[in-house]
Amino acid sequence: MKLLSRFSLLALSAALLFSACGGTDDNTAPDTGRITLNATATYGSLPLVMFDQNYDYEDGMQFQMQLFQTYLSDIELVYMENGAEMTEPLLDVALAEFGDIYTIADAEAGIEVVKTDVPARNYTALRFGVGVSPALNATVPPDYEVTHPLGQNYWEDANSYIFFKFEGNADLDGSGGFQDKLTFHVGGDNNYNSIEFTGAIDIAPDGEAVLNLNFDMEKLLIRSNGDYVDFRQVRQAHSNTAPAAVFMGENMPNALSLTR
Amino acid sequence: MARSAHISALAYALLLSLVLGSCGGELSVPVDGQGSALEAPAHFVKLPREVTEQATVAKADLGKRLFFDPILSADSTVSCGSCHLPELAFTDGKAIAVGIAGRRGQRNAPTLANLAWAGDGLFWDGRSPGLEAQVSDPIHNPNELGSDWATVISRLRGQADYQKAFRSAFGASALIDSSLVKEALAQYQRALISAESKYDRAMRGEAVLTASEARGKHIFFDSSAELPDGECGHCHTPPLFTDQTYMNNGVQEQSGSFEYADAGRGGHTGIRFDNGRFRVPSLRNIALTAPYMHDGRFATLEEVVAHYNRGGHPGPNVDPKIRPLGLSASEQADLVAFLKTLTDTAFVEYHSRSKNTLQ
Ligand code: HEC
Ligand code: HEC
Repeated sequence: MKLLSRFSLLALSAALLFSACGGTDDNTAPDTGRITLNATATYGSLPLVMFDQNYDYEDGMQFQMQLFQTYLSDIELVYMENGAEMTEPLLDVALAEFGDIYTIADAEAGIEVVKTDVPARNYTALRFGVGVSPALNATVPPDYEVTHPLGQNYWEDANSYIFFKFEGNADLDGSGGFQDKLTFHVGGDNNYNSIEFTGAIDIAPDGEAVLNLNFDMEKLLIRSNGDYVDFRQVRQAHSNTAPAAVFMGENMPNALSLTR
Repeated sequence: MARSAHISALAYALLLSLVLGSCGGELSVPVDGQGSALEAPAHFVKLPREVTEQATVAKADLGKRLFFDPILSADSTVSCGSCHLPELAFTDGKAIAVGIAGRRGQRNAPTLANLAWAGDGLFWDGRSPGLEAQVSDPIHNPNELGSDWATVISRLRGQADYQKAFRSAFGASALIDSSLVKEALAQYQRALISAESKYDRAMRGEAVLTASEARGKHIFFDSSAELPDGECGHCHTPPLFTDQTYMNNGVQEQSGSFEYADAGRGGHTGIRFDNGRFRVPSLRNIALTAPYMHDGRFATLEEVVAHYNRGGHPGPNVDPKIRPLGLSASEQADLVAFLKTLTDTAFVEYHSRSKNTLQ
């Protein structure tokens, strides 16, 4: 029943709102184009699928995925006007869930985070945060309707949403057993990452730009200096301060890449 | 084609409920039978305004009457309320439900509390998209009411009382049909809101948990460094005590890779990786809803906790949070004590009483 996402609903209502507010006598076509932001996930160069793939990890370990999901906040395009930097908001918050990505085709297609009309312009950057922005993280599920992304994943004891979850099963000894369970949940304002990808995003009137944001699990778990989350030592973190949670929180920006 | 982020049947089901109907209220005092009465408790996620605005007491009252009326069954012996008893938080106390002529069904009857929030499929496997659509299933199920719409509608139309009640709920020109029956039953069930347990009062500072209950709460929510993590709150997330997902909690033994006696979610989606997954049930009023799990295999909460403490049967899609917990006997007892704070006596008493005050 994958007809409408809450985001396309949101975009739709935004569009309705816009057209309602912008209802002037002016009959000229609006100078808008369309922007789509998709999210994909990989492990290195391999598309990330749940269960069906063994990923080679450090020091002879392997793992299978069971869940990856992450919030994205304050998604906006940046542009310059009269020498001043301006922003065009796209979406306040989205939850990208990869838990039902079982096939390579689905993994490659990815998840649509936002698709919306924006004024046609030569934008200079895409900006967003990974996690729930501090302002939104000060809110709680009862502030939202049940279909809203922030209506769930709240973690009362930390007064925070769970920004991202990485879950799976590891084979630590090469037995092929995948019995060791991995649950890493990361939240807390200290683990929020603001990201900016600079580079031209030109949207012509009636034109379309499609951006793809990739999350590379290999880079989330393994730092460029070779440090990695050692599943033999730690398999659970549900915290904003546990070393593995902080490691992954800090590493998240390295795990991202944007293609257009 | 890219998928949409967090596309769930939830959005769809809510949309459907907006399109199809309105909501009934129950707990507030009916003034003229038409008042809007469905309101989310302050600590719950909000219900869409379109849903609450359309709630009427008259529809919910009609739904209540239908819910407890055996007229819906083929031989007029069984009602929805025979398997969903308000005294037992709308369960039946049986491992496997029993319908007309003593016929045994397949699964355990779940609680019906707080289903206004359940958008991502109903039933243990999520095969029904929402409360209106769900009604057809027990009507037709040979192990439940074993009837059919033609019979049900002609019987209801044959009763002047019902004609009157449908007209007062749906307007003077209302003609009894299956869509109105569905709507009324859905409105009654949406109004079954349970949010006033000792746990809720303690969260508001109006009650104090005993030391054992408080330890159990920490174990449940992984919130104390001194106590082992129970991992329960990840799936049984407050305030609904379900995160509305489908999970394998290791109760069934695999007969082959991803093969289970009851495939659960996988039986509906056809996705192998969903086999053995079931809808995470709410734990509200859990002390009243024994026996437990989709097949009623555990008679007591102690058995349930012992299951989780062992870590369940292995299986590739058993959730990673299901693992041996290392709880001592007294810690297991603490966890059970906490689970018992989720009983909402006012909810149970109100609905047990009110079933006898049909309009
Ligand atoms: C014979 C006993 C029986 C009768 C009669 C019965 N039910 Fe149920 N009900 C069940 C069982 C068993 C399930 C779980 C079935 C499954 O998941 O496959 C269930 C599930 C449900 C659910 C889904 C709850 C959830 O959390 O997913 C709803 C709603 C429901 N019943 C409403 C009704 C209504 C309304 C009626 C009357 C029209 C009714 N039931 C009649 C036994 C019964
Ligand atoms: C990975 C998610 C998950 C975790 C973690 C989890 N549960 Fe469950 N729980 C489920 C699912 C799914 C079911 C239903 C399974 C079935 O019937 O086959 C369930 C069923 C139950 C039931 C029976 C409910 C009923 O109406 O029959 C109880 C009680 C329960 N869990 C308590 C707990 C406790 C206590 C903990 C922590 C020790 C816990 N759960 C941890 C997912 C989970």
